[in-house]
Amino acid sequence: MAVALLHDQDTAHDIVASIFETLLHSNAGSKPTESYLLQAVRNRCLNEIRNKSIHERIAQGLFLDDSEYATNNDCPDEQTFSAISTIIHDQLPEKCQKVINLRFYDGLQFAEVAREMGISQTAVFKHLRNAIMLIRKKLTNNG
Amino acid sequence: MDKYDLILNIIEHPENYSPQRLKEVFSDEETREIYNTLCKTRSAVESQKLCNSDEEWQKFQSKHLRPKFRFLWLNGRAATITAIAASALAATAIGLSIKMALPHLQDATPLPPSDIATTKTDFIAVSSDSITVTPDTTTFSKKPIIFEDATLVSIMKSIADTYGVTTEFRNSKIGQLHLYYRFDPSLSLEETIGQLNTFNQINIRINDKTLIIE
Repeated sequence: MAVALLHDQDTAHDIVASIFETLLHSNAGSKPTESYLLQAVRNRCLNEIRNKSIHERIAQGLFLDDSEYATNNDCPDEQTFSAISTIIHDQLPEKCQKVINLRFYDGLQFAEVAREMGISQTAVFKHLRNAIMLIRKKLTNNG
Repeated sequence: MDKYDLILNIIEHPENYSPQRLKEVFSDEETREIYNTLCKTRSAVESQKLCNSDEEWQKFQSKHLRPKFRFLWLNGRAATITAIAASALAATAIGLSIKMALPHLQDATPLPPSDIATTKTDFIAVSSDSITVTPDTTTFSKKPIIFEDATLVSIMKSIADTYGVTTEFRNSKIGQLHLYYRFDPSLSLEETIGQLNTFNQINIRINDKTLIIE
């Protein structure tokens, strides 16, 4: 959940480790529940995000509006993530899938994605734009 | 440049835009919606890099609760494998139907468990389907016991029962320490005590047939 919220594995690991360390040194006698852990992780992540400037948020692909994170759930919107993953794997053309994976999974810059795929950066933009348009359309249609 | 291209340019080079310009761009509702879809897409892809909380807890335990033990484990693996192989050979040679009374025990009456400083072991009457052991080098062919958030008192009682020794807590608070510990009865008493001594808060020494915990 921390990785899904922060888009940064290192910071996510630091936050989770910090929570475990706090629990370890606390006087609590019983093992924490999964719900407690998820809520603790979520709260720490949101504190981390709130302190970020607009530039930092954009660089890490974080929402610009804190209200986007204000949900009643302990977990991120897993249903939406699952729907997006399905759209990516089942409905996007192969090149659009590859651009998304290289950009967001492997963390390459657009220029590096272009080099990897042997296409121009303009073409990379075009594939990603088509992907986002399709995802946006499918999410809107599904409600 | 349409909105999609503008957003993609912004996420690639946010430093080229002033905070005021960014706020102006994202004041448009559709632009914000496209950007949010992009964020959710990134989250969906990032969440595939699974972070299993149980796995992380186990990794954290092994890294922070037993820092020295990792070194011991790496260097003691060969010794552990040898000990297990030796105990398997010993078990085969002795057989499954020998009874043995442990000679050093004088009191055969089982005592109730207690958190007070000293505890005594019970008289061990080995049934016909178990393995004979000697008091100092216990090699019961039992499965490892996982203690989850157990007190040191309960862990030490199990160890004392296994190896046929007594325990003496010189520090009453240490007994209430809660630990996650994997007790492998196939190891020798010295090896088991060595594992526990890797915890910074614990100091156990063997004095003849008594384990002194400080």
